[in-house]
Amino acid sequence: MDEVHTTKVVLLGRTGSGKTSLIVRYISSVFSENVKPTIGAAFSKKTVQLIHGEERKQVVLAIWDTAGDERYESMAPLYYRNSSAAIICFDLADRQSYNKVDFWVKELVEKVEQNCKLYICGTKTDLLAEYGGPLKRAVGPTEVMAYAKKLNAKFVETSSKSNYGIDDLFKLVAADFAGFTLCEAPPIEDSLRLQEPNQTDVNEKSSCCF
Amino acid sequence: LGVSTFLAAPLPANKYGINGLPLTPNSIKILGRFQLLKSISHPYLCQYIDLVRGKHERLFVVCEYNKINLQDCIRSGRQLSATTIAQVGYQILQALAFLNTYEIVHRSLTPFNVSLASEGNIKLSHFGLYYVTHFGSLTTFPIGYPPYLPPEAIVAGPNYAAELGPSGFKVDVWSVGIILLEMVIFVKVFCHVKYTITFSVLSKLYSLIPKSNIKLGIICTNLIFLCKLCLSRLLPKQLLDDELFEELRIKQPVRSEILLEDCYFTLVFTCLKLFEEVYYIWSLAAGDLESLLKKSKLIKSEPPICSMPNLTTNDGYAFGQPKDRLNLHDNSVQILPLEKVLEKIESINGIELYPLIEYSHSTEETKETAKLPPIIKERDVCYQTHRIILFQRLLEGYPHTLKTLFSEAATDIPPLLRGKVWSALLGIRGNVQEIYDLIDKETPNSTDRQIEVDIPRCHQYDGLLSSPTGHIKFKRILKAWVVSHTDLVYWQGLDSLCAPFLHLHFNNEALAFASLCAFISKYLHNFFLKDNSHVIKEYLAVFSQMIAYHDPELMDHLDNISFIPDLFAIPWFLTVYTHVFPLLKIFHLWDALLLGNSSFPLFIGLGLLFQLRSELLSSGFNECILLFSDLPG
Repeated sequence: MDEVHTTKVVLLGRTGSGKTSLIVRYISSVFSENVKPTIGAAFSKKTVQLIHGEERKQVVLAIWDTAGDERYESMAPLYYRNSSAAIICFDLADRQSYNKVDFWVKELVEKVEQNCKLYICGTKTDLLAEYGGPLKRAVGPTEVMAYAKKLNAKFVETSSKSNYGIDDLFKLVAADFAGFTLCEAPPIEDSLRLQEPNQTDVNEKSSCCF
Repeated sequence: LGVSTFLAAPLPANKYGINGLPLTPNSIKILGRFQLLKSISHPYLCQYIDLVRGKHERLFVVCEYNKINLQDCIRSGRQLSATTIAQVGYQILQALAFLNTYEIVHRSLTPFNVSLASEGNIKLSHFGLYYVTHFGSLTTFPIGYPPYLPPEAIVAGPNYAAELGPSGFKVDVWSVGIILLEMVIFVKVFCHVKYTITFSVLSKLYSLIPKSNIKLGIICTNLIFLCKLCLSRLLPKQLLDDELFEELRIKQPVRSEILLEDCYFTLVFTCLKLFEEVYYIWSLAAGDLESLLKKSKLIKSEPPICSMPNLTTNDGYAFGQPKDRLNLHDNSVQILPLEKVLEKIESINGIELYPLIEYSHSTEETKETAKLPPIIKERDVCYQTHRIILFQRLLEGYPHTLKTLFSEAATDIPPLLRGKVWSALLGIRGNVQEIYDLIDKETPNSTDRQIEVDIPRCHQYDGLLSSPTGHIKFKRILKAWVVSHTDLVYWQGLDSLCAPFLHLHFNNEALAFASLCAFISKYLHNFFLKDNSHVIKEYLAVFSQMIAYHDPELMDHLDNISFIPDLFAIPWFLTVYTHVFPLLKIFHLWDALLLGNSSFPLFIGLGLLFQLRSELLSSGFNECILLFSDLPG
């Protein structure tokens, strides 16, 4: 019999940083060009299976997607209250959205959510010039890494369009929650390989023992 | 009415704009630009009515059409009197001068595109092609006919040349000159033009004129003088002041009534006054533009197997197909077969066609139809004809008829007139255009960025709202709202709220803006305050109380699983459901909403909960919230 855990995950970040796209990609494996702006918040959930040797666990991720518009900030506590994990998103090509990350970190730390694990997620890698996209990277990985380390947070880069790093991100969230250690090197470094994200690579069951 | 067709330039697959979003298809860009043409009305211009997108970037243009055109007239060899020629010239120039006020250049002016309407009046057609295709840059075929184009347009090459910019107004004046000359001398001036020829046009003219012109007498010298003037390229407006037109200037243009070839259904046209209405009824009666054009061989389809490319690159470019002749432009027009529809309308009871406003009058049949669901009613030709006539008359009597308007709108609102009816229901009065014009919609401010990221994500499945023209209008209206309401601020969601109004009043930003303002102040009072938390809290508290009052059992259950309205109902109320439903649903929902008072959105929310009551009662928190989430779960 698998152990079943439920955990609350909240997504925060500046408007247009790709929070909703990230979830739509994760939940239904599609990329939509025009997702609607989120108003208030939206909810979705997905179950993650974790297998570690003999041990098997199921983690239900209850994911809250929040509005990025600054006006809705006052409502945010309603949605992030009691979350065990917060994914703070920013657009890798938009410096201002990175600047917003610190705001959310402070907000979460101040508002008693001490047990909330932080994940900093740079989105839209497909748009960056280094992956063949049209835009220039606005935030360097070393900078974010240093920042994340200071906070004891984890940093990943994702692309909802080319489905890069997203499953890994949520598995990481689930594993951290369930107290699983990943048998290979932590995916922080892993996710930073600066190479063309390979669609088939992600879809294949990796050798990692999730 | 006639329909013609052309293809927009296809975009290569997998190409993205600089902002990383996919490129807007050219047909959508054209659709957005086309809307302006619908609003252009002039006695010497054919009225554009609709543009429909077909498959594979094919576009269908519906517009007013007269069978006889100047080309036939010239070909027939019948001598035209000098006054007629002058009159034609004058009218063309008037039409052009009018178009120029909209910054529109015809560019494909030929005798074929000058149709002859009743009483010797002309009507220009195809005048919008150059405009809608953004100076030809959105199509693959060149616009314009070399024999009628001035040298500089020919030198610029067949397609849009960015470095030279779009053609100016004077291009058309040259064409007018050539057309007039042809009418005078009955010879095609440039039969075989090669692009490379650098021709000395005026000398050619001088050589042509004396030979063919002996019979024409003195007035004609004036005409020739005019032709020369045309070719010497003054603006249409300047030419209108020419003394030749002295006596014509007194005659004011008269708006001609609908004129349909061989049509004695006069009865109908006393009721349906606009082309738009006739076309709308026609398309309701399952009129299909594409099959019509296929039948008349204007669109030829090939089996797909014959058009397989030999080579396709990763970028989506295909090679090895013979160049498709269908991509070339064919300006021929197919007449819409209206007879069947007109017969159908003829069969309608006179009471329905001439509704009495002050008394209740409907026939049994109409009353029966009125009970059907809106989707079905909106497809019913006879019923819609009746409703359109009725509402048109009520709108003409607005605001005196407001009470009747309310009671009739309670039955339903005809989609064709929805925008106007809504504005009336919202009580819009006064000079909205002037108010709108006085608002500064350009100065950048801090809200711009939020508006800019929201618009490309707002109801983009809709062609109008996703077109670049639509985005520009969208931004203007939202900015106007922000600027004119200093105590209120832009909240994400205001874009969705604006969408239905913009869609309905695409050509009338001022009215869309006025409607939006009236709507917000009626249904969303203080929702857009900078700090709206107390307003929303109060609203949600009322909502909770209402659930508790109307359905204690449900409330008890929701309370137990701590499923509070704050978690799901904010987007409902803040956007009055525009964020939750697609446009078509919003239209029907708001048809009802606009009749109600400011607390009506709460009742709609209650209705939604009722509808899902059994699911809600049997589910826990997660399942409940998923029911209302627009994300996949």
